[in-house]
Amino acid sequence: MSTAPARRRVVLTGFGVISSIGTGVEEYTAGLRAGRSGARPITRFDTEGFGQDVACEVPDFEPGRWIRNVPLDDMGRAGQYAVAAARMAVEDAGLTEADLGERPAVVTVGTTDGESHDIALLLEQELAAGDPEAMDPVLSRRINAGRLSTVIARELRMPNVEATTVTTACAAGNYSIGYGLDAIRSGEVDLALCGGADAVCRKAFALFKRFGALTPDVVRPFDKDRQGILTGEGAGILVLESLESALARGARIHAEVLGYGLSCDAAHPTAPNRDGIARGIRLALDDAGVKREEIDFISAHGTGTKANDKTESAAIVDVYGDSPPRTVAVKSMLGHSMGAASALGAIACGIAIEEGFIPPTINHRETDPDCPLDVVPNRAVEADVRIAQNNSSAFAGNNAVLILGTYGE
Amino acid sequence: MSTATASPEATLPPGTPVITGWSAVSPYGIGRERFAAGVRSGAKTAVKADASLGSLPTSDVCVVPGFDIQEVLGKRGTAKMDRLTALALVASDGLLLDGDGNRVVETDDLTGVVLGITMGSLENVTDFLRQSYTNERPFYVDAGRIPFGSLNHAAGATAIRHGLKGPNTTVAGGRVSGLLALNYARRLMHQGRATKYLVGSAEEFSAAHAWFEHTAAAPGDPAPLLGEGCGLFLLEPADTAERPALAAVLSVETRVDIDDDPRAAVTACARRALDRAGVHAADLWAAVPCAAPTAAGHAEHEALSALAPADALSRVPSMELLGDTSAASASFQIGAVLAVAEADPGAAGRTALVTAVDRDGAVAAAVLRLMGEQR
Amino acid sequence: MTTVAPERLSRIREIIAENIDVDLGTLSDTALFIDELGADSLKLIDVLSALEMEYSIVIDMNELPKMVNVEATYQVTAAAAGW
Repeated sequence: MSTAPARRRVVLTGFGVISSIGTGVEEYTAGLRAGRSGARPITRFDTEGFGQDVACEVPDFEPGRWIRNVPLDDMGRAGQYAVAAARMAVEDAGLTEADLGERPAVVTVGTTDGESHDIALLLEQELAAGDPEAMDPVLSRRINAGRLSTVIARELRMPNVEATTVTTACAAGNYSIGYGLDAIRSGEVDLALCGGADAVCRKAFALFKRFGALTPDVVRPFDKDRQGILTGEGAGILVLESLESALARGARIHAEVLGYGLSCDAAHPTAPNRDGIARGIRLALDDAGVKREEIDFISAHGTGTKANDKTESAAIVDVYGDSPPRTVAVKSMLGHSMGAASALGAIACGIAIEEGFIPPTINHRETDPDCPLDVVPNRAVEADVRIAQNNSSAFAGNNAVLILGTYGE
Repeated sequence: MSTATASPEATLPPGTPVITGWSAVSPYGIGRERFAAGVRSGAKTAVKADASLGSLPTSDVCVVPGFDIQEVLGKRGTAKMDRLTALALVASDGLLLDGDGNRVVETDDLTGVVLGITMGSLENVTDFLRQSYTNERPFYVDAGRIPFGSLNHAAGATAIRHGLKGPNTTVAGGRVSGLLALNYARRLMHQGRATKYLVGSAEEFSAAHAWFEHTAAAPGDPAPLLGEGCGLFLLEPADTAERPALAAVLSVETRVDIDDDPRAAVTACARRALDRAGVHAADLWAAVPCAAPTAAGHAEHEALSALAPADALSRVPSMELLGDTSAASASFQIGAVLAVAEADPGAAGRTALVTAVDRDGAVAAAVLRLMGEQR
Repeated sequence: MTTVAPERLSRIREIIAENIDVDLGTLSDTALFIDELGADSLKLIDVLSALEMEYSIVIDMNELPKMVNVEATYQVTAAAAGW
C-alpha cells in the first residue's frame, strides 16, 4: 500500500542487555545459542504462602559496574537495569560521552511495572509502622515511570533529549523502538536509545498467580501441556542511528530497523485478540516494505499461556497461511520480562541476523495442534536469517510488531 | 504576526498539527465549558477533602466536584473501575460526542490515541499490594480490579469505548507527559500512522498518591496541594483537518535537566521551542508555566519571567489554582490558553508558550498559535 | 457430589451474581455462565478468587472450566473446602 519514497534508513549500532540468561551481548548470545533457562528461586521478595517460588531474576547484578554519574539511590532496580543497559549499548556502539553530549536524541524506555518493587517496599514501611509517615522519601521520589528514561539522559550526560517512558505494558519495548524509528525517519534526530526495562516484584507475581497464569513448573510456549508464564526481569537497550550517521563514523551495524506496526484491539482489557495481532503484523510488513515470504523467522510474544499462544498462532496463520515462518518464543528461556521482553526479543532477532542462527523454544515436548508452527524446539539452528519479525502484545489491547533486517548486501 | 486577509492555516508550515477540539474534566467541573469558565474566573478550586478519601497528609484537595464514577458512567463495568480511567473516559466522551451523546467526530483505524500519565492509578496498585500483604494468603487479591491497574488501561478503555483501533499508546512523564504525548502524536501523524489523534494526559487524586507526594516533598516545602483531572485534544494535520483549527502546535521541545539547574533547563528548552516555531519571546500573547509547588516550579517561573513579557505571564491565571495536577498539568495549561483565547478577540493569530517541569528531571515547552476560531 | 447446604449456596449465588454482573434475582442454578449469561473466563477467575477468599480455601485453576453454572461451582467449592 505505501510506497516508501527515499525514506531515511535506520540501523542498530549498539545493544545493551541485562537478562536472566546473560549480561551483555556476548553472554546473551551464548545463552540464546545454548537454550539457557533463566529460571531460579526468587530472592527479591518473600514468597511465603504463594505455593511457588520460581522466577527469572537477573543474577549477580552490579550496578556500580555500569553506573557512575547518577547516585544509585536515585533509581530503583528497573531504573538501574535501564541505565546499565544504556551504558552497555552506547559502549557497544562505540559512542563516547564526548560523542553524545548535547547531541539531540530520543531516549525511550518501555515498562510494565516500573518501580513497583519500591512501591511495595513503601507499603511495607507503612504497614510495619502503622503510619504512612514512616515511608522513606528516597523511595517515594523514584517511583514514577518517567524516571526510567530521564535517568539514562542524566547518566550519559545528554540534556538535549526527549526522554519518554512508554508504559504500554508487555508491548512497550517494541513501541519504544518504533518511536525511535519514527523520530529518526522524521529527520529531527539521528540517534535514539530505545528499549525496555522491568524488575521482578511481588505485584507482578501475585497478579499472574491470581490470573492462574503462572506455570507451576517451566515455561513451555506452544506446547500442548503449557501452563503459563514465569515472571522475569531485565533490560534491553538498542542504539538506533540514521544510516548516514552510522556510516559517517564507521560504526559496526548489527542490523537494520525496517519497520513496525501498532494496532489496538479495542475489544477486551486483558484477553489477546487474533484480529488485532494479525493487523499489527500486516501493518509492520507494510511499513517495512517486506513481503511475507521474506520473513525468515518470527520471535513470538509466546508467553506460554494457553490463551496467548493459541491466539497468536492463529493470527500468524491468518497472515502467513499454512506454512508460516519458523516461530520461536525466547520467553521459554527468559521468562516474561514484561516491558523488557520485546526489547530483549528485538536484540535476539538482531543477534540471529548477525550471527546466523535461530534461538530455540526450550522446554518443548509436544507442539499443541492448535499452534501449528515449527517452534525450533529445544536446540538453536544455524540459519541464514535476513529478515526477522518480533511480536508483542499487551493488556489493554496494545499490539506492536517490529521487523528487523540484515543491513547491506 | 498574520495579516488580516490571509487565512491563519495557510501560513502554517506543512505538516503542522492543529488542535480542532478539546475537552476537560477538572477541579472546575466536568466539561470544557466549566473548565473554561473556571479558568477565566481565576477561582480557587481547593476544598476540604471528603472523609471518604480516607486519611490524608493535608485536608485541602482539588478534586473534580461530584465525580462519582458509577453516577457519571453508569453501573455497567464500573464497579471496580479506577478513577483515572473514569476521568479519561468522560473526557473522551466530551471530545467525541455532543451533549446528547451523538458522535460528532469521525474516527477510523487511522485515529490514534495517546495519553500521558505519571504512574497510573497508584490507588489500584497500593490496594492490590495491601491485600496481598495483609490477607490470609498473598494471592488473595481482588482479581476484578487487576485489569484497571495496567498503566495503559485508560488509553485501552478509551479505545474499547469508542471503537478506536488505531495506534494506542500511553507515555509516562508526570507534569511533562501531556507535552510528551503531544510530540508523540505529532511524530506518528507525520509518519502517516494516523490521520488524527486523541491526545492528552490524566491524573487521579487518591490518598495513596497524596501520601507518596507528601513523603517525596523536599524538606521545608509545604505539603503539596494536589489536583486531578484529564485534558484531551483532537489533533489533526492542518491541511486535512475536518474542523476549524483552534490552535496550531508550532513546536514541542523537551529536555532533561542533568545538572539540577531547572531555570537554565527551562530557559534552554523554551528558547529552542520559540526558535523552532519562528516566534520571538517578545511577541508572546501568553506564557504559562506549570506552577509546580516545588523549587523547580519556582525556577520555571523565574525562567519565564526573564523570557516573556509581563502581560504574557499574567494572561492566564496561575495553574496553582487547580492544585498540582501532575500528569494533567500540561494538558490543562493548553486548555487554559484556549479558554482565555476564546473570550479574547485579540488573541487570534497570537502565540502562546506552555512549559512544564517534572520531578524526574524532564522539562518541556510547546509553542501554539491561536487560530481565532470560537468553539 | 456433596449435598448442598442452603446458606452456603445462597452466599455462593451472591458472590457469583456480583462477579459476573448478573441480577441475583434472575440467576438460576443451571444457567451457563459463559454460553448463556455473557460471562468470560476473566469473570470466572473473579468468581474463583472471591470464593477462595470467602472460605479461606485454594481452588486449583484447573477446576475453572468445571465452573459452568451455579450448581457446578458449588460442587467445585465444596470439594476444595472439604465440605
